[in-house]
Amino acid sequence: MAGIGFELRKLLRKDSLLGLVQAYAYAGVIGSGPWVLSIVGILVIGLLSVSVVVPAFLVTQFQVSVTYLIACSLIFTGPAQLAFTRFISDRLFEKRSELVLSNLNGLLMAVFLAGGLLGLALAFGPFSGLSVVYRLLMLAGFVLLCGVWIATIFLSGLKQYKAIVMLYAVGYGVVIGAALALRGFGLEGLLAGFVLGHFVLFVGMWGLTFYHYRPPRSISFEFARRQLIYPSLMLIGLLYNLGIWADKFMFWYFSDTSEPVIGPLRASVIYDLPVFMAYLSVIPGMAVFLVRIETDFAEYYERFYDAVRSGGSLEYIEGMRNEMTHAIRQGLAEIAKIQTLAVLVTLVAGPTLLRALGISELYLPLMHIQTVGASLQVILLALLNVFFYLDQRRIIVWICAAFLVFNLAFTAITLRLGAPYYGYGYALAVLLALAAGLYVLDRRLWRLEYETFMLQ
Amino acid sequence: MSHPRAESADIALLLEGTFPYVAGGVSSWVNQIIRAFPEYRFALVFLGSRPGDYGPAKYALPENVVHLETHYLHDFWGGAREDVPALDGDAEAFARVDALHDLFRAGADTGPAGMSAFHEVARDLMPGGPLTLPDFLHSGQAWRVITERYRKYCSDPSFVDYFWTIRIMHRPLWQLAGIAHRLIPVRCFHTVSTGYAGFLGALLRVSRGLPLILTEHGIYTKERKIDLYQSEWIRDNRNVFQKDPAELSYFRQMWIRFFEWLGRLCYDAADPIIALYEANRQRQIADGAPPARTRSIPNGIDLPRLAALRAQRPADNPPPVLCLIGRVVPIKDVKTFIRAMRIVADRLPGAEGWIAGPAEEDPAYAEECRNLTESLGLAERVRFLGFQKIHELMPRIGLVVLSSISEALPLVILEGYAAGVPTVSTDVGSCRQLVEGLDGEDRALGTAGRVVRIADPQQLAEAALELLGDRAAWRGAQAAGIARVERYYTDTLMFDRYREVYAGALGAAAQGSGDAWRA
Amino acid sequence: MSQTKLGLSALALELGAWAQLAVAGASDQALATYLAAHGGAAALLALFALALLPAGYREPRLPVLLLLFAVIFFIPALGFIGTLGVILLTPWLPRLKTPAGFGSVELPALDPHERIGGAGFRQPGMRGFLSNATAPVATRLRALVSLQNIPTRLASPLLRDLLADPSEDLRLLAYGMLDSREQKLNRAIHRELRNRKEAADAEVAARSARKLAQLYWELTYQGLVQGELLRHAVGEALRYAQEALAADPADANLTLRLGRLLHAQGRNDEARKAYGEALGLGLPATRVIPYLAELAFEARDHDEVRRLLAVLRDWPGMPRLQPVIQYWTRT
Repeated sequence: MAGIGFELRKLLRKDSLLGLVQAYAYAGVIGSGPWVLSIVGILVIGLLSVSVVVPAFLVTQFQVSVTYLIACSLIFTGPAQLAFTRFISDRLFEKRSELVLSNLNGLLMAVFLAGGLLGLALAFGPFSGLSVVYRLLMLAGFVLLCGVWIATIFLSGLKQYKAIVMLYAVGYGVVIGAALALRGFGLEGLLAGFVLGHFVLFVGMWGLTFYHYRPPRSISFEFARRQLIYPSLMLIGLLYNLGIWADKFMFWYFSDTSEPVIGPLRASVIYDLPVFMAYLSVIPGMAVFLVRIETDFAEYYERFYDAVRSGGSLEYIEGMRNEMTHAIRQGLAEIAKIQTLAVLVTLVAGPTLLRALGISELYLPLMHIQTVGASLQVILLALLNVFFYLDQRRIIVWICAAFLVFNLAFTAITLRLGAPYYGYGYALAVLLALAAGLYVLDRRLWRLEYETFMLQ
Repeated sequence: MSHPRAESADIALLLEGTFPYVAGGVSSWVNQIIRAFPEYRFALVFLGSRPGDYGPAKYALPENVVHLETHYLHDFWGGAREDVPALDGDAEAFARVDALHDLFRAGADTGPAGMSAFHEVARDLMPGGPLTLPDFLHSGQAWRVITERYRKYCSDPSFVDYFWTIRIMHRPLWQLAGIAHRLIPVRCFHTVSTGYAGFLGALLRVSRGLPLILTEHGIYTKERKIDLYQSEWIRDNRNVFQKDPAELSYFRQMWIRFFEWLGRLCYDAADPIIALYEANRQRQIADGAPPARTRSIPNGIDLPRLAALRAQRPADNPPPVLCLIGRVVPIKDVKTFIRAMRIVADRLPGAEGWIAGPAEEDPAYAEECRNLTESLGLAERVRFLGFQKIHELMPRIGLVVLSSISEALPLVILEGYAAGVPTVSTDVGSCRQLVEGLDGEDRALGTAGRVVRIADPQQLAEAALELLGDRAAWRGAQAAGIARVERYYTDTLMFDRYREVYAGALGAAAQGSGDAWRA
Repeated sequence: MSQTKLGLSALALELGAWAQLAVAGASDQALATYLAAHGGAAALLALFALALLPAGYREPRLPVLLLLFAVIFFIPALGFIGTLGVILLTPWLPRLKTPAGFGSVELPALDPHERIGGAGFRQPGMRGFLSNATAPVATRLRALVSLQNIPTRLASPLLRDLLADPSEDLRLLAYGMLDSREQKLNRAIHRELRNRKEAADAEVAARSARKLAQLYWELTYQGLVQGELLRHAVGEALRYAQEALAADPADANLTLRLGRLLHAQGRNDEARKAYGEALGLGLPATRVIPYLAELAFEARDHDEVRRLLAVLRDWPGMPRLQPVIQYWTRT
């Protein structure tokens, strides 16, 4: 998300309360990422539909279908996400912007074909026997979501944050509007609304890229060249997305905690809703994180390397290192503060909220621990971002791998231990990965100049 | 082309940037010496900067060169970048390095303490010692020493420049240690300069305890200073607040001190320390050479061969040709010669200036010289001949001109004398001694040309015009030159003295007198 | 036209597929039949869309076709519309221009790495100090280095004196300093000579000549050439100044320069004429009159000197000239 700092700084430089609010709102939307937005969208559709004609189980079927679509498409495009971001920023740095759009098209072609074929295989495999229209919509939805993630990455790489926010607003507006309009057609209607909205979103983003760039070639595949690709980034993308979803999948397919919903898709009512509610609580933390890391930290980071490259004094370099450390420390502390607040709000407002949603208060403890886990995850994300700045890809791979393994192991243990422990596995996994990351970061920063100069 | 290899040899010659790959005065001298002692087997260790800087060998290797190895000290940037692990480094070894540098900073008068500190560090540096190249490049200890010294002493703010200057400066030392470690067994070492070759000599002396002979033609440290004074590549990052106007760029000072200390370490290890003439001997003493070990042995030339050329000269007037014989490099100040030619050309119609010497060593400078010729409108009068055979050149020229800003004891002046050509030279090195004579008896032989100030085209031109325009004066100078070279500067004199030097060193080696060095 | 046929048959096939879909239940069979028909239609539509693409975008053919096909096939109905929309519409839209904008420049940070110890060099009477061969070489070296910071015109006589200094270090450093300054000018001269040689038209050549006149003059003004080389440089400067003036006779500054060059060559009458022309071309009297006065002085016409300098009496500028003016205008 490099480059957003520039936009944020512009807003903050206005030195007004409005600018501040704008900056944080902006950062919140961008930072919490598309998938939090999608969760909000699904919840909204669910809420609006539940009371109306559609039978409740259809809404659940819709929500579960869409959740699977999001999870699978994120994991599926995971390897491409970070690697392609890096590819774009490298090419832009080399001032070879003519390559970016043709490579977007190349990547889209690859992702569409691979994703589509995978979808077809699933449609005739596990999904066999479901309605043809449902299967077609799921296929289209999966392919579209993959395209949306890639296009989002691409536009963030081009620093089109405003456009992204606008398009998501329009896209989700269409999703909600169309879904509500078509809910009369039941599950297929809701799903058609979802597909239509994402189609608008995708076409908008794709069109925008053509609007900005007139590449000399329509399609090319430089991104697949061995020397321009970072396998470590592909691995990180995959591991991170797997890590995030691992515990959810385990709850979905553990018989004590789940029930079949539609075709091969299962859901865990006791786990899913609290989890998604918890994710909503990370939005303020994400905003703070972006503002802190992408403005203060990034600024000192630039000065640090500027001084290293262009002949600053050692004292100045160390000063910038200290400022970087300070910015990280402050940023993490602020995220911690705001997330503590979020946890407190959940503690206080949780019962009311659950009642309002018609969910049993038995879920309350799970929601609490999930909020803690999600909050820790914001901090982990901030930490990973710092490592990305320092280009410590190897460390990120290790942290993400640790996170995935911890999540699998601890969730398995909590599933065995029984209901009171649900949710602790995930939270503990994040906590441990975070602790390890902080420890390594501390050592890195302490010896940053040494490593910058001597390990080359 | 494969180099000769041997299991052992008698004398190892340590050659930095000269024989057999670079043509010039020192290389000719080395060639002369090797051929004069067929009874000894020579091993040559050539140190260059980068392989691409040198063409094929400029000299055929004499029969008694049994071993040749070439090493390039600035040829390490090719390798692929790999992940470098962090290292700790040997704290004690780096503490010794730190202490040694404190002694270096303290100045010349470190006495035996400095030298014994150096011997320790030199042993640490050798392969197998605790001071390894990876430790220097990547260890935390090295980082500690570098940053501490930067904070204490560096007056230039740019840390990145300081860091790389340190790296580039010191990195060849490990390579030299490796060379010293692997060199075939020999009975004594002979280095023809200080600098890196001299440092290699010192390392060999410390690690093997065998005698080291040093012959210095120019003064290496001084020549490096000239480079450094004129180089534009050394950065000065001090801003107006940080700058002391009376101080050279800190990196320039660092390099100068570095070469001064390489020289001092070599002087300390070498015996005898040979200069070409008295003034240089004094300079060596001033730079830290123990006076008792110094002596001077002037260059000599093959008189009979060159004397034969006199018969080929035109009988009447000398040809109005001024010839600068030497490499086209800044130290020869070819530009002053060209400028003087502008004046000569105006006053003496038909006069020509020839520049006879290879122009490959510094193509940019050669280009500038050609440009200057052009902008002075001398394209018709100044000719760049490239490398020329002395025997073909001498009979066709009227004056040997030397416009150098620094010289030692230039062979071309002696060769000119022997071939009957007087000299106009700048007042550098031993040139005044060669033209006017050293002491009473020598001076009585007369002046064999003119001596002028450096970088003074007017004076140079007038001196040349005076000789070329006055037949009697020219004849007188010619006679004085012939007399002087025959009396003082023949190769037989020089060979006799080196015979003594080699016999002494090999004798000492046989007795193992150097064992005191091994601790 | 085959293009139309392609589009129509694709449309027909697609409609047929849709018709099947309307009655399809949940069987794999139905899905497969639909996909077969839809796939055929998608392939035809992809071909059709390919032809509609702007010429440059049709290559490389296979990947482009595959991309079109994927979008149309996997996103039924919508995919085709969307693709056409993106491909056909966007190239005709006006291009978005990102305003370049002004960047803000931040204050440079204070670098804590201050100069360590050591007071600066303090030495009055630099010339005397430098030429004092008995002073310690190190101190004289520092004095010499500090000459780097004074104008070449003032430094070069001092440096030239040091070329004969007994200390070799001093000699070499002085040489290096002189040489680098001269090198800079000579490089510029050479560059300009080449420009002149390659000049395509008279105007460029004249501009080149003007620059050359300046550069050669600079060589003499900075004191970098001596003796006959000085004469040569003046001659070259004069030659190029005349050439440039031939192209633009109204150049007042160059006319003044011409006067000074003629003056330097001792061609005083021509110089006087050039000075007069420079005045006529509108140069302020203060810039020309001192030289005219100098000419008059050389001709021993002291009344004329007085008369000329009287004009300048009330001129506040030119501090170095003031004593001269005062002397000549005493009453």
